[in-house]
Amino acid sequence: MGDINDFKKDMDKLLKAFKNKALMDKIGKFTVDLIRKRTLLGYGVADQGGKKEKLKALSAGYKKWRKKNPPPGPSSPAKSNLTYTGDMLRAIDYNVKSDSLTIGIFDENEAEKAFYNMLMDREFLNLSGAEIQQVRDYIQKILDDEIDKL
Amino acid sequence: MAKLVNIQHIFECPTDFTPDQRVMLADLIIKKIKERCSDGLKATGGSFPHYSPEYKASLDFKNAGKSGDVNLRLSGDMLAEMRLVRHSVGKIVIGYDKGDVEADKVEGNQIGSYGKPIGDPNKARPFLGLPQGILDALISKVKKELPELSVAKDKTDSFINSILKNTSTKFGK
Repeated sequence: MGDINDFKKDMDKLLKAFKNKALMDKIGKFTVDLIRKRTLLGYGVADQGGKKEKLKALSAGYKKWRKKNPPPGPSSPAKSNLTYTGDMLRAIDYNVKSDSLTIGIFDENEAEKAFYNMLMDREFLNLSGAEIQQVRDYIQKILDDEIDKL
Repeated sequence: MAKLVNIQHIFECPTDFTPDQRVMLADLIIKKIKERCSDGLKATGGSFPHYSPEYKASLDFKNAGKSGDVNLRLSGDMLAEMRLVRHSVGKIVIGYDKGDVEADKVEGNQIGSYGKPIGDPNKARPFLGLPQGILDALISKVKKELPELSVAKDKTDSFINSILKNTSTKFGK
C-alpha cells in the first residue's frame, strides 16, 4: 500500500461509486429475506434494534381449526409464525428512493393483515439488533472485497 | 438454567499492542471466525459434524432455507451477536455474555449439548477460536497495516451507518 492520504482518497472514490441502486437493491433483498426467515422461524421484534422474541402462541381455538384445515403454507397447526397461506410474508418487499431504503408490505390487503397482527402484539417488521448487525456484516463483506483490490 | 460454559474465548496478543491495535485485531478475528464458519470449519481445524437427519427434516430447517452445508447459521443471529467482550494488555476476549439471546445456542454448539445437561464432543461444533497460524497472520497484519485498516474501518462504518440511518419499515403504500 502507498501513502495513507492516497489510500483515503481511493476509499472515498470507491465508496462514492458504491452507493448506487444496485447496492441498495442487494441490501433490500437481504433485509427482506432476514425478516421473512426470522418470522417463519416463529420470532417477532417489538422495537427496532431490540431483541427478537417468540411470537405469541396461537389460541387453542385457532389451533383446533388449523388442525382441521392444515396450513397450505410453510407452517403447522400449532406453529405461531404468522403463516397460513404464506401470502403475507411473501408480500414483504423493499423500495429504493434516491439514498433511502424502505422495507415493508406495500400491498394494501396484506398490509392490513400485518397491521392486525401488530395490534395483536405480533410485531415482525422491525429489525432486531442482531439483524442490524447481519446487515452491517453483509455490506461490510461486499466492501471488503472491493477494498482488498486497492 | 444451567451455568453457561465455553461462550467466550481468550486470544493472546503481543503485550506491546495498544488498545487500538487490540480492538482492530478483535475485529479481524471476529471476521475470520465468521468466514471459517461459512466454510464449515471448527475453531481448531477440521470440519463441523453433519446436521442430523431429524434436524434436516424439520420445518425450521426448511423455513430457514438451509442446505446441508453446516455453517452455524439458522437465523444468522448467533454469529452476528459475537463480539469483543473485553481486552487488556496481551489479551482479547471474544464471545458472548450469559444474558445474550443466543448464549444457550453458543454453548450447545461449543460442547455439543444442544439443550441437554451434558455435552457430546462428537456432536460439538466449537467455533470460538482460531488456529495459531491464522492468529499470527492477523497479528502481523495489524502490526503492518494499522493506519490503513483504521481508515478503511472508519470510512466503511460511516458509509454503512448512513445507509442504515435511511432504512425504515412501513405498512401500506
